[in-house]
Amino acid sequence: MSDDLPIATSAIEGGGGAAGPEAGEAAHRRRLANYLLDRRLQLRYVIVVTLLSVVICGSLGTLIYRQEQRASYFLEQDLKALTEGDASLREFQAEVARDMESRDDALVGKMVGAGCALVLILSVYLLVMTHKVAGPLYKISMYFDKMSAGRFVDVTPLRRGDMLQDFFSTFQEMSAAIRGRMRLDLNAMERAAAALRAASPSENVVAELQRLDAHIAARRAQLP
Amino acid sequence: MESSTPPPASSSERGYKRSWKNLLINKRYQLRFTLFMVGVSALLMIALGSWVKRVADNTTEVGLARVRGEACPPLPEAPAAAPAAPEPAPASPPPADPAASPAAPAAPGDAPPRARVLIDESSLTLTEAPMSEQEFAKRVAAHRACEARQAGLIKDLESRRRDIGWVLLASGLLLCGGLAVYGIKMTHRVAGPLYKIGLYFGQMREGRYRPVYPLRKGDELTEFYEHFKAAHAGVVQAETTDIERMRAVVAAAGAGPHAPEVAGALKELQAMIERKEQALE
Repeated sequence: MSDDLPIATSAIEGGGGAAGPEAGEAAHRRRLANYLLDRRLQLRYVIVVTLLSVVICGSLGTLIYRQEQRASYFLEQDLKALTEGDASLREFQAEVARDMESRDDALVGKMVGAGCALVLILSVYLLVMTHKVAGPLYKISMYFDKMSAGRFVDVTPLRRGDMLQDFFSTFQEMSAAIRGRMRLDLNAMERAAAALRAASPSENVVAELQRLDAHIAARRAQLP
Repeated sequence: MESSTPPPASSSERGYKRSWKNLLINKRYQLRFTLFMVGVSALLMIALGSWVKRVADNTTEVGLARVRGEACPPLPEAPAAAPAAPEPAPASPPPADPAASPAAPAAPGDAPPRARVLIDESSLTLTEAPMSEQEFAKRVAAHRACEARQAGLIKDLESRRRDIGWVLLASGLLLCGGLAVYGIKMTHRVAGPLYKIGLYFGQMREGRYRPVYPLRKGDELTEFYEHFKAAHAGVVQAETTDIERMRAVVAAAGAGPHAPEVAGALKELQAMIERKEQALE
């Protein structure tokens, strides 16, 4: 790292290993452990959709349960009225009431189970879906960190299925253009330095040319 | 991003405000997330709504059956205007009370008619006491009131059944519409910064490294934007260092006169310095 680039890079150098934009990262696969890359972005969407589903399921489920309970109550009352005079049918009536009550309870259980399953499936799916946005952003962030340290590495493509492909290709073009221009500039600087050195310059110029050479070497090292 | 080739970011971009016209700046990303949200809600509303409707229909049917099953007081037969007097049995005593005869309906204020028993040799016939007009009217009124109440209840149940359908449909449409707007606004807060960074990418590709301005209030991806700003600063720093090094060489070489090769090299360095300085303006 050149002294001319004062931005500290040690942390970035170390941090780029696991998921950074290194050459080996091209083969980087999705893993369950790193699906939550940008908590704020991902969880916000997951929570909104999940909560919405819970509210819809909850309110409509309550409506269904209340309607079922109402129907059961009507039937129970009718049966009660029909068997009022007959003591022998009292047990039957109680049995029917119990049966309807247990059916209503089972309905609640089924609805809660289905709601929980829905929330779980939705959350996992949304996590995967938002990861396809957070992943490219994370990868570009790693390149940004390297650029901030003065390192302009080659940009590898995104994984298949990632979103923001257009945005990424704009970034890729920008990065390639900067790298190309920097290479041309370094070549021009080298040419100029060589021409100056050939004209047996003064000590002062030689010292500056040495500094320029060191600068060019350091910059070349940062342009793999 | 799908936002094609972003136009160059200008200084007026700093004062840029959200407006309804450009809410959809990254159609692919924004519509995908919004439509997913709307789709899930619509599916849930349709599935659970039809369930609610079915259960409500069942409940209404039970309610209707219950109402229809309630027996109203029977409609009495109209009292005969002048029924013929029954043949009196020989053994039977003459009617003691003329008011009891059906042929003579009770006058207002009279005692109510009594039941009459006819005893034959081997049979006994109980003839119901004829109904007074008052009683008749009372029973008819009770019957009609019961029928009207039942009709009202049936109408009420039916209208409630219809209302449930409309309420479900209206709330479903409202929910989906609201969610579509919310989804686009929510994703715009992500797509906006990406669009802005895309504009800067365009400038940097062309070799212009103008200052980076902050995001709008409420925008997402603030952390990502900070990374971008640091990257931009890194490029600016690299260019600045190049300028400093080249300027030092040019200054050390002095004003000249120089040999043509040296003058050419210095000219090239000077041109690069100027280009890089322009890029940073």
